[in-house]
Amino acid sequence: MSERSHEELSALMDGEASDLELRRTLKSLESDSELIQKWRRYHVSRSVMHGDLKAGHDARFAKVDLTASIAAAIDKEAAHDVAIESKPSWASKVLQPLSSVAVAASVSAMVVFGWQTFQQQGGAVNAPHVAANSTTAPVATLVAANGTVNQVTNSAKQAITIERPANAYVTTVAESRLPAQSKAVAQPEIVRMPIDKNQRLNHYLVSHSGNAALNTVSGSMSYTRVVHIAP
Amino acid sequence: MRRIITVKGLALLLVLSVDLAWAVTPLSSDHSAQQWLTQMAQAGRELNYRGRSILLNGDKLNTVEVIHGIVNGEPWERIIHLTGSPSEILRRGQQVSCLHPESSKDFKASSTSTPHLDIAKRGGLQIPSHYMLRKGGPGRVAGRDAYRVDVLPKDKARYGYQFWLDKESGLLLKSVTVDRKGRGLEVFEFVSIDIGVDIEGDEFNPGDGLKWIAKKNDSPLTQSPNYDWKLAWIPAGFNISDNEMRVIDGVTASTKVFTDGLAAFSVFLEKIDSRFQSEGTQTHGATTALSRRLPYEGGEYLVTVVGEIPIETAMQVAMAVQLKPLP
Repeated sequence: MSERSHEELSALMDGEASDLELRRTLKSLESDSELIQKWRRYHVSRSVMHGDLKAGHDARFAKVDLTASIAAAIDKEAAHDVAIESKPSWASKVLQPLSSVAVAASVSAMVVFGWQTFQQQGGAVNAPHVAANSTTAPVATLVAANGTVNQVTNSAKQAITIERPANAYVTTVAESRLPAQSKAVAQPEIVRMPIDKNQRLNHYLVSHSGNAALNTVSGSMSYTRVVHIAP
Repeated sequence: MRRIITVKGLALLLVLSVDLAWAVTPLSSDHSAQQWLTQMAQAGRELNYRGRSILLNGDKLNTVEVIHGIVNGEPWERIIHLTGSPSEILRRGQQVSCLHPESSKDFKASSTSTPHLDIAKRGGLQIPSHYMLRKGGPGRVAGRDAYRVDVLPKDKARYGYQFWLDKESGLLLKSVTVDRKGRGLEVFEFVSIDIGVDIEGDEFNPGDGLKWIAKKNDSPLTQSPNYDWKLAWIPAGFNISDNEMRVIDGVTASTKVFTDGLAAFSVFLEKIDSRFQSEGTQTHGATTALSRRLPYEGGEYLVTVVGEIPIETAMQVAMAVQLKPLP
């Protein structure tokens, strides 16, 4: 185990790892059993320090390896019909931040989420949703029902497709799951809202900015949020 | 050509004494943070200024020119997008339009004829009790000396803010919206600004290729809705400030606006063709937008919440919409 992986592991524990470091560490974890052991020890010691584990009594749980059952659970999940876009070229990676600024005229973030799970939680703070951001590298972020975030790399069993048209919004939902088919909000469904195409929402955003300008201390600053949107 | 007279000092104000423009008063360090914010809101409405600013919203950067002046006792404003296709937002008193080469649209075509009451006319700014205010240290923005005010939310329903106010005038020079973990969601910052300057009336003419269309008289709604609705829950500290039918892009939407003085959210409700609209949510910097469908008595309605609020708050608001028949 190199000095660098050690440092990156620490950074990951502290939530300070960069995307690159995260990916590198995940990769090393696949092959480096020493690193995996270290990762577990770190977590056990942290849990003990935080009082989550009582030394002695619960120590046997610290040895339980959950990875297999989690992988199995992911396998069982219904696939979302998706697979990551082919590997972007070096040039497109480098240019991505620039192009994402260039498309500022089209509000391009895109989020899908299921209403049913949200309802079950009664609008709880950690309402689950699956988010796919147009500007992220090919790593999809899954927000699980308990609100924790798992990074799913390309190697994950769950296939994820991210189409990336010119204006860079993302669609992830099969036609058969379009919300129009559901009769009520309570139906399980994953919905999509490609913001670029949602003229209606653009109109609402613009209309709201006027409300915000007149009703908050920041005043006309609100208009700068929508000046580029052509409804 | 209309000329707007501005005053830079009290002496000049006394001499002219006809003008509505507000004299520049320096922020007093003896005043409370609340008084600073009151002065900030007033300066933003009543001063003449012209500057360029950036808005960093999520991962998007906008650069704009901002021109603000008082014409005929009314605030006029022009926000010019400096990059890409030309676009502007132009406010002349009550009428606000966004101007684009292909089309220009009014912000809201209200069915009610009552003029919009803005925060100033409703008796000034009430700094809500759901925030804590803290005076920060001195700083510098756009080459000018500034004071910082931290506005900390007391609950999870809203965001926090850091404001930098111009020492000389109280004008808002920089604003950062932060979430509960202290992460910046949105940054608005002037990079250069002239405050208390003369601004000619023709500075409010739209740029090349853009057209200002004087507002036609609102035609009354062809059909009034046969439903009424309310929110069973609103986040503490928010009060309703507007409730009307609007025609938004040709479609009638019942609109309610709520504000706590620092943040605002709008709730739109429209009857939809059940195959037409989709649900979904979008967060973009500090702005959250969320749509959900609401079946009621055999019909389908679309609830849309837009605001500078956390998505959890927007979701709870969307879930709290209750339709009821008209009495």
